[in-house]
Amino acid sequence: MNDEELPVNAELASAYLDDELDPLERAAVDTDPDVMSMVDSFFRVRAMLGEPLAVDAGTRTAAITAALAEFDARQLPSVAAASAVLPASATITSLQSRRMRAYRVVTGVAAALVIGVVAVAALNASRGNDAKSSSASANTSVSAGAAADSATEPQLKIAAETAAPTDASGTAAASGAAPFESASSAGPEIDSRDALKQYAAELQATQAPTAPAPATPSRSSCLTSDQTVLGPIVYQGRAAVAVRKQSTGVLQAVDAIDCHVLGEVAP
Amino acid sequence: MPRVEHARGSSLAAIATQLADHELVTAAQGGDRGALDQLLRRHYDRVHAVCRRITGHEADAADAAQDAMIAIVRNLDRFDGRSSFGTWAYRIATNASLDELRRRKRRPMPTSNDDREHPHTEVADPDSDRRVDAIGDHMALDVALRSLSDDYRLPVVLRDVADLDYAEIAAVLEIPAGTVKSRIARGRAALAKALTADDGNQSTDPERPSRAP
Repeated sequence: MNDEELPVNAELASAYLDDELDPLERAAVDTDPDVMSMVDSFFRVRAMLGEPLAVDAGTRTAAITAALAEFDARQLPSVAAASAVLPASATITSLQSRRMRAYRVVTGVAAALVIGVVAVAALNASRGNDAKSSSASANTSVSAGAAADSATEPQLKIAAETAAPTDASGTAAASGAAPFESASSAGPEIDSRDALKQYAAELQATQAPTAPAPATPSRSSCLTSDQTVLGPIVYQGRAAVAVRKQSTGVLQAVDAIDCHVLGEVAP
Repeated sequence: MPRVEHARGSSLAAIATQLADHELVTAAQGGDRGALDQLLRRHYDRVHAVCRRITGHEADAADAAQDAMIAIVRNLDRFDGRSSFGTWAYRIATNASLDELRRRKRRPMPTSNDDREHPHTEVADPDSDRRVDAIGDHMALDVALRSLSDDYRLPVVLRDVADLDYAEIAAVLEIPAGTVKSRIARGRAALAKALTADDGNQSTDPERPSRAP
């Protein structure tokens, strides 16, 4: 449309309809039948445009659900951070330095375990005790052995033998240690959110649902009561724990060292 | 005849709506999921209507409306309340619709026989002529809307569908208010002409605006 095509007084009629005229202008239009006729036609256009359009309920629900899922994904890190027991001096560190720090911690723990196992074995041998006198030592010996083997590796994957994930009751690791403190039950390697989702689905298929584990006085206290531990995993090369939020069903990979949420996926 | 009330900003209902939106927005920004749910449900249908009128296609409108909902959530923390939530949301809906239109231009165009967006006009009941006429009017309106350039269609839709005033439309489209006024007039004139051509004559609407202030 160009200037030649715009009807005379169209702007006046349109502004009248929108109550954008001053009283004098409005009074002038009131007495002009041609302009009022145009007002009528514009009113009809507006009435048709303003008629409510039928909205498919499924479409509406899908759109709002998608938006709420976006909201949930954005809220989870802040909720986890608010509930996490983090040191006051916690700072944002680079991924590289975090990985190196985690590696140092894990290898340190592995080395300590090796030393402990050797010491216990020596004691047992000297006393002539049954190797099964301590189920914990038996378990740690197997896992620590594997840990020692991989201690020199830059990756955090440590034990393959105890790869069986813990159940949702949180009785993490056959060793009985809380998942956050056990570097020996590293669990399966998971490198994506989809893989995390698949891991949770497989767990659910093979295990009966159980109640969330009570918080233990350990680093796992950074979890809330809403979060259920599924099992230890190695998430993108980092020792972590898979958890599920009971309220939303969202799955998270939580760093085993600093409780940072490494990844999350909607159910 | 009662005068049609256009001054949405001064009506009690409009003020109440804005206050309620403000409370819901504040709660949602604080992490209240229920408040956000309520806020989105309150505005979805109009957002969808804006998208529908801008894109001209139901499927594109659904996609654009969903994109708009997600964008609202993503940017909610940045909403500072200087405008009403509705104005802000319709700006997002407008942009989402334009994005959808750009994506559609890159897709194969539907055939001229594709009537998926048009209601089926065959009516078994011979007495429902008025309904057929109404459907025809809406079809003509849809066609006329699509034939308008974005410059004229967007201001008209934001005024007559989203019920924004000239200043709000100017803020959404980032054009002067005077330009908004002239573009709305041109857009309406084109649509009125299309409807008049479709009808053959003008209808007398008993609810037209009164001469009395």
